[in-house]
Amino acid sequence: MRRPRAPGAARRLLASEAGSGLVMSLMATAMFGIVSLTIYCTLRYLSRESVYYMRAAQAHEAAEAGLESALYQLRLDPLWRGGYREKSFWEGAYTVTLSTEDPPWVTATGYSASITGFGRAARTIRAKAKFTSAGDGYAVESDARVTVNGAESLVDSYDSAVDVAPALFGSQANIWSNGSAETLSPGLRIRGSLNFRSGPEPEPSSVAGEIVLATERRELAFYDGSSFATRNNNSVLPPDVYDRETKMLSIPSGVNVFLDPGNYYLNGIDVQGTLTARAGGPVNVYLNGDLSVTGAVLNLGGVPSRLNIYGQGAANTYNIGLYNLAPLPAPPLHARLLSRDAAVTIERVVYGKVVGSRVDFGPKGVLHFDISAGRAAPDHAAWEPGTWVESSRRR
Amino acid sequence: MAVAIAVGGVLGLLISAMIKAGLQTLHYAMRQNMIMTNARKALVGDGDKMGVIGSVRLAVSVKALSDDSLALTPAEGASSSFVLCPPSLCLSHHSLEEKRADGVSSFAVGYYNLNDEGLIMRSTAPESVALVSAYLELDGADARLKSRGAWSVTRLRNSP
Repeated sequence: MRRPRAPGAARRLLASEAGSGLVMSLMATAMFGIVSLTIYCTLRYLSRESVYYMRAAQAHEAAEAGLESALYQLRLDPLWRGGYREKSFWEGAYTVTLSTEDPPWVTATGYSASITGFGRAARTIRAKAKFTSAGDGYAVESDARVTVNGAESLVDSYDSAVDVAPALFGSQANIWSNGSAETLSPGLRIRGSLNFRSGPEPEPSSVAGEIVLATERRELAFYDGSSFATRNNNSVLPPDVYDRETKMLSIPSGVNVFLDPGNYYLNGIDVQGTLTARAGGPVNVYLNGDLSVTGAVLNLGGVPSRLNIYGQGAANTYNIGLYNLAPLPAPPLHARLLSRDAAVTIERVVYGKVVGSRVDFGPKGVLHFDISAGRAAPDHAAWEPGTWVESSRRR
Repeated sequence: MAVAIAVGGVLGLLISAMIKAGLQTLHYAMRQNMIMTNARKALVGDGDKMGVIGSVRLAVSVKALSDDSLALTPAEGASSSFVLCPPSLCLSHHSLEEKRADGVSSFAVGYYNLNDEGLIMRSTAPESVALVSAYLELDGADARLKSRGAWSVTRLRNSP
């Protein structure tokens, strides 16, 4: 039990200043703490707000870049519908999709870099393309050489928008070579005009239209599919014919593989069996390697612009070869082969359009140029006034 | 005892001066923040409310070459105009004025297009306008917190 203090001791305790400094220090520290915390929170909010606005602006500019990139590609090929998927752009990326209309609506979504706690800002812009009229398209475009000198080789034209399987063909199959051009005579080989820049002039009787020695070089379109190298529809390909490591598609004889509409990125294709592109949206194959067809490539619906093979690598070879089930008639290929860097050899009937560094038609090589699939690049491409809209969302 | 009171007084003055300085800093930062936020609201927008930049982007054309207001014709719907309604910037739409940002003391607009040589020139007719510049001055609230300017140049994306 504690004993009560004497009155004198209480007075001394009350009069003492010991500990007052500690109380004041604690109060001062608390005040400093509160003020500091408030300033810190405000500044943190300010900086985050600023960063978010900056990211939003970055996302918008990325979307604008995607839109302009698509417009450039449409300027080269008005039928291009491939788009891009999260293609890198500075610190962010953009995704571009195109409608199947003609001219298409283009939707570009730009993404900023991600911010911790905020995610990444996204901005979407949509507009409709507008083309001015252009001249005739080209059935064959080549950088170095075109040879149509097989015994039965022929290049003529039709329009899949009118008839996908015509009995008669027209004379709008124009050819452009930035190098030489060679045709076999006698006999008509090219039902259209022929433009070339070097080498001897082909025999006039083998060309239905004009033969023109061009002075200017024509830029051949390149279709950049790098954004589909990692994000694509390859996962639907059967593992027994598709090697995920090498990205090689090898279809042995007697096997049929179906391709659904979508974007595929492959390092090589060898078709000894059957490769069938299903109808619907376009099947776009970005090919960074060689193409060898001795089997059948079928395009259900028969519209060439629904099966596009876009070359990605340099110095590749595309061989649409003799049918391995001959003497059965080789099934025709309905497609657009667009590879400005590939050497293309055609040994059978192709409906569509062909672009290559060299394009050679073998003895039985025939191209029925689809006017709708090979429409000429427009003189000018822009956005339809009044169609440009933007929206925002976070992701 | 007297010494303790004197020391306490000095400490109190010192602490109060520091707290006052801290509060002034906070006040200054908040004011600057408010100015920046108002500038963003006016130019970029606030949530679903579109600012000057977004409205110009969507516009098909401008209606008049006014220096202190911006009248726009959108692709769809009625025209609208940004006007100064002191001390705010307002969007006038269907004869109603909707406040877009506070603390705006002046609003100046410039109109430009490309001439035949591809050079930027001041527009002489509303239908030729392709670029719009907007300059805002935002109040600093008192003499020490000076006013701040915000500036933008935007292209009419929907113009023919």
